[in-house]
Amino acid sequence: MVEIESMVPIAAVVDLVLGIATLSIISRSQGASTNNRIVGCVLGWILVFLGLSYIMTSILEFRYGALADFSAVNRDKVGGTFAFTAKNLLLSSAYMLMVLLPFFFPFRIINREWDLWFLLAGVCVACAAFTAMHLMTNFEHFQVENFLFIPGYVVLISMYIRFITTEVRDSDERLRKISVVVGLLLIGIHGETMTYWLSQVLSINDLFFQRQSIQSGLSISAAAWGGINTRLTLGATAMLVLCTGEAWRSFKVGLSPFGVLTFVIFIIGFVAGLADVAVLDVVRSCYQTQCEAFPVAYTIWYDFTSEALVYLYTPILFMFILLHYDIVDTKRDENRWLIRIIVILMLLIVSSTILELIQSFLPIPDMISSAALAIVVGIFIGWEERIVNSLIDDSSSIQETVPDFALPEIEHDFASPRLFNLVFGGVTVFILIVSLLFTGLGVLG
Amino acid sequence: MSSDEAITSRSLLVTRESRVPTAVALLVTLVMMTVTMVDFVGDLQATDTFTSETPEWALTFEVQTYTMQAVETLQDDETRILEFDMAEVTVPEGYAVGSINVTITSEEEEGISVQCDSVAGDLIENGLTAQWNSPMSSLSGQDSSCQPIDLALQVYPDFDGRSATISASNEYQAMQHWLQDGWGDGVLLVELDLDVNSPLGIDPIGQDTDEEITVDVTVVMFKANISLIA
Repeated sequence: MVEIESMVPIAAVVDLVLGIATLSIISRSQGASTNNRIVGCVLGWILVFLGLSYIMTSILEFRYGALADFSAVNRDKVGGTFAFTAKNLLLSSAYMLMVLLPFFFPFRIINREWDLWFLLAGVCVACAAFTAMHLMTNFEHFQVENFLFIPGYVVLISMYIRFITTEVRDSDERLRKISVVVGLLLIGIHGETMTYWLSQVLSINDLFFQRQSIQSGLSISAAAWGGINTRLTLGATAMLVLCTGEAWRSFKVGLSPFGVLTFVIFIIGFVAGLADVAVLDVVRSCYQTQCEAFPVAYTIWYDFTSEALVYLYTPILFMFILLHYDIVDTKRDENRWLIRIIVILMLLIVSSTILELIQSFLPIPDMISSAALAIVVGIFIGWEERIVNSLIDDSSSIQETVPDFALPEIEHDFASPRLFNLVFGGVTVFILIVSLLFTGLGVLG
Repeated sequence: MSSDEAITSRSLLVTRESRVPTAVALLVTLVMMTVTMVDFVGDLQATDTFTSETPEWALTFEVQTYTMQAVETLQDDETRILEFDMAEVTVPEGYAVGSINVTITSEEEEGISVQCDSVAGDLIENGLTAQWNSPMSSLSGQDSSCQPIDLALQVYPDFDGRSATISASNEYQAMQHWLQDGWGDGVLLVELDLDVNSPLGIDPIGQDTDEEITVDVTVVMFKANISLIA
C-alpha cells in the first residue's frame, strides 16, 4: 500500500505538455483558419496557465505542506509567498480565457472586426485589474472573477439546448457534434462543480466553505463567497441541463458515448451529495466544536471523482476537442508524429496515476501493479495507431461539419499564433514579475 | 435550417423550439443562485464573526469531596506505606478529580513525656495519573510540634478551583480543557515515618514507644460550567 499522493504535479506536467504541444502545432499550421488559430491558441494558453498554476501549487504542497482538504491551500502557512501569489494570478488568467472561450468556439458568436481585439484586450485588462485588486486586498476577493463565467454559461447552455432540440426535431445527426462539443466545453469549464450538483441543490456547499474558512483562518469577502457560489450554481445547473438533455435525446434517438459520460458525472454528483450529507457532522465540527478530519473513505472518493476530473480528465477532454474538432491541423504528416506522442504520453500518464491511486487503498502488491501498468503500456503501443487514427480520422472542424451554420468568417491576418504568444506570454511574465516584486516587498501576508 | 434563413448569432443560440427550455434552464439557474446565495451570505456572517471575534466565557466550578481515612499505630523508627485505591472513590457523572489533599495527624497520648514525636509523611510518586511535578503539589512534610501535616497532589492540569474568564471561539473549545478523562486513576501511596521523642531523651520505663497516626485523604472533584459573557 502506498500513501495517497497529490495529483497536482501530474496535472502540471500533463497540462504544460499538452499546452505547449498545442501552441507548437498551431504555430506550424499555416493553413489553419483564423477561427481555429484563435481557438487553438486560447485552449493552448488555458492549459499553459493551468499547468504553471499547478506547478506553483505543487511547490506550496511540497515545500510548505500547505494543501488542506479538497486541495485547498492553507493561507495561514503560505500567504504572501511567491508561489501562492503566482498560483492565484495564473489561475485567474486561465479563468479569463475560459470566460471568453464560449464566444469563439464552437462558433464565433460576436463575429465582428473587433472581437479578436476584445479577446486580447479583455484578457490583458482583466488580468491587470484582478492582479491589482488581489494584491491590494491580499486576495480577500479571490474567486470574484467567477461572476464573469455567467455570460459564457448562458451562451453554452442556450447553444446546447438549441442544437439538441434541432437535432431531434430534424433528425439531423450532424448537429450532434455541436451539442457534444458544447457539452464537453461545459464539463471542461465547470467539471469539478458538476460533481457537487446535489450538494448545491441541497444548499450544503456553503457549510464546506465555512469549514475551509475556519480551518485556514481566512477572512474572505462577500464578493468572493458570491463568486464561489456562482461557480457552484453554474456547475450544478449545467449538470442538470446536460442530464435532462441527454436523457431526452437518449429516449428519442438512442444512447450515445457523451450521454454515458454525462450520466456518469450525474451519478458521481448524486453519490457525492449523499456522501456530503453523511459527513455534515464532521463539516460542522469546525464551527460547533473542534475541526475533525474527514473519514479516509470520503477522501478517497473525492480523489477519484472531483479531483481526478479536474486534474486528469480535463486535459484529456481538451485534447479530444483539439484533435476531434480539427482545431490543430491533424492531417499534416509533420504534425502527426507529435500528436501521436502527446496522445500516448497523456494516456499513459493518466493510466499510471489511476493505477497508483487504486494501489493507495487496495492492498495490491507492487509486482501486480507494475504488471498491470505493463499491460496498459502494451495495449497503448499495440493499438497506438488505431487510437490516434480513431481520434484524427473522424475529426472535422465545425465549419466542415455544419457549413450551413457557420457564420461568414472574418479573416484577421494579424491573428497569428505569434501575436497570441506575445500577448499571453507577456501576461505570464507580468504575473511572475509582479508576484516576485510584491513578495519581495513583503506587503502580502 | 432552411437555406434561405440567414444565420445570425441569435439564431445560433435560440430557436422557437429551444426558447422555452432555455428560459426554464436560465430561470432555474437564477432561482438556485438566489437561494444558495442567501445561505452563503448567512454563513458568511456567522463565519466572519467566528473567525474575527473570540468571545469570553465565564468558567466556574462545582466542587464535591470524597473522604477516606486510615488510623495506624506506628512503632518508633518505623516506616509504613499506606495505600488508598482511587477506584474506591465515587466520581459523580460529569465530574473529574481535581486534587487530593492529605492530612496526617498524630496524637501524643502515651508515656509521661510532653515532648511531641517526630512524624514525616510523603506522597510517593507512582502510576497515579496526576501533576506530580506541579508547584501546586506538596509531596513531603514533617512535624515534631504535634501539628497536622498537610500534603497535596494536584491531579487535573491547571485546576485550582477558582473561577476564571477564558477566550474561545465556541463553547466546546472553551470547555475542551476541562473535559479530559483519565486523571486520578491509580493508587495513592502515603509513606509515614515515626521517630518517638522523649524529654531529654530519657524514657526509663520504655513507655513511649509508639504513636497513633491518622491519615485523612480528601479527594476534591469538580464539574466545570461555562457561560458566555454578554
